[in-house]
Amino acid sequence: MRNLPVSLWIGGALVGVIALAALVSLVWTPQDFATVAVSERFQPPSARYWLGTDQLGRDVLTQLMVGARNSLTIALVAVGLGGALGTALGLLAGAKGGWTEEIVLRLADFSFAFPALLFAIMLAAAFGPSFANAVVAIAFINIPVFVRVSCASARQVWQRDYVLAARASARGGLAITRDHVLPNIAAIVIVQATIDFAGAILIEAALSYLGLGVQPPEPSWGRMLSEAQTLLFLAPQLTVLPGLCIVATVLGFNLLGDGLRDLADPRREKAR
Amino acid sequence: MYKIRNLSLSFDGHEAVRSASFDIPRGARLGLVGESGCGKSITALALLGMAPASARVSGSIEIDGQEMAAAPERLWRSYRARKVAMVFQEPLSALNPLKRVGDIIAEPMRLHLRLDRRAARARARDLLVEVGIPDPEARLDQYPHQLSGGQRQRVLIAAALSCDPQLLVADEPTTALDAHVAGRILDLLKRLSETRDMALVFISHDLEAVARVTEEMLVMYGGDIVERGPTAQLLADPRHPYTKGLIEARPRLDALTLRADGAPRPRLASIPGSVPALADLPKGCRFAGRCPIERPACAGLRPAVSVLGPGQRQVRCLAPLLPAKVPA
Repeated sequence: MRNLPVSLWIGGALVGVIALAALVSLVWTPQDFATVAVSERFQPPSARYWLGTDQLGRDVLTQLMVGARNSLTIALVAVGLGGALGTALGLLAGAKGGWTEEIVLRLADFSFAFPALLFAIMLAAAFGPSFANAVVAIAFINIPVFVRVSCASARQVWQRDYVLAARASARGGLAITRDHVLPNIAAIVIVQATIDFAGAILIEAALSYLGLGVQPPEPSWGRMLSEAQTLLFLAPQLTVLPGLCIVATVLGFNLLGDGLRDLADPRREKAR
Repeated sequence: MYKIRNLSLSFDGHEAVRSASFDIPRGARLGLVGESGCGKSITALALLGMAPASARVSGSIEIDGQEMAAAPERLWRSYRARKVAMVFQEPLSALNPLKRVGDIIAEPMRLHLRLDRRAARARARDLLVEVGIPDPEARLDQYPHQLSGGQRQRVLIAAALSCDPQLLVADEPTTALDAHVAGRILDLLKRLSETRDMALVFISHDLEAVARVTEEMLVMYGGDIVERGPTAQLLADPRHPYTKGLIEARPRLDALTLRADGAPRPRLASIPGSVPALADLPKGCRFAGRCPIERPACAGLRPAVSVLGPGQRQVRCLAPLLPAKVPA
């Protein structure tokens, strides 16, 4: 492919590997993720346990694969929900302007003022730790970014002559938003979603680390980290491996987002 | 068809258009001329009920007997596209880059005429033929960026014509085009107006273009209509000092070359000063301060409209210029 940004390739490859592992875990895992076999604990890598076992004799590779699935699912649903709601609000504010815009943007500013992670922890703690509540918490803190991004871009599109032309041919606000504004801000919103995906993975890991995210026996990278930290000197790979997965995923989505942004907006293209 | 009486558009109490009155009869071709910022474009938008939300509209806009100046958006929407349509200055920015030509033209027909996809597409093709685009079938599936400037403007015109409006408002439709292409677009607009018996409000600062297309013209300055009359007469024999200045400031090729006797041509004439900002417009005659024949009273007193001769010529000036040639 000609002239695709390098970051797009690296990001795409990292995300691709993780996503593939998550997809494969749906149909096959080396071992059952919930099976505890204390007699098999702290096994080194072998033909049976490719990455060895943990302190409860669970297969590490299986845990990582299912953890990838859980992380990606939470991030996907949360960013999808938050992005959809935020974009809808942003489009509304961009279309209406005036007081509607003021109120929506000030609310977005207001929720921006809270540190995202603390806010997610607060929500998850208030509504009880669970998969669904982690999704809701992460979705919620994603709303304001999408409001801002989509409102700002929507306002630019509303200034365009083709919107004036659409009004001159008697299109209403809803039709213009659907047919003209949304398609023209889609690229920006998708880039934003990709970058926010990385943040969502990180927050999910943090929630799970604190026991507020994915609940046992479902594995999660964050909880693998917290469970293994007391064994840091005994079995460092139990900490390093999930940590590497988190790093790779976050880095992958960030690079992918950067690459997509360069692709969508050639003016921001830097020397590669 | 259109009857505009004392139409004023003001922003924060400053009048960008000051009690303009004119009619647009069916099939008429009316030119609206003036410098940038004189109120042309906003008058045009007002004809579609699309003046900016921050503008206060007063006076009367009557369309086929229906008073529309204070009409709600809903009523205006039932008029747009079907009664009045608009062609914009920059064809590229007035076409959504993500939509195919066929969809751009078909969209209003599907909405207002309730045509199905195939019927709308067939009519879109016919419209492309009517506006003179070769190979229309292939063009329907292209995107705006794949067309030339002139073709884009033709597409925009085709989209505006799609619901057979009785009035087409063209806001500087040729400014973004090169001279040769512009001329052909002008001829197209004139021909469409004739064959469809469609009124045309043609907005421009280009006097040649106005002369080529319109029968009657209004000259605007600072929100006032300062002079009006049949286009040919008005250009040959301007009575308002602003109109005269505008005509003299028109760039001509021969002004750049030497005269036959070898003497250099005079420099291109210009009107001294510039259009004042909206907040600084003189209370009286808007042209006060730049006018070569200004009298002490001009800045404080808004001149009344004087009717000149037996024709439909009108001028808003305390001391209109004398006829260029004394009538025999």
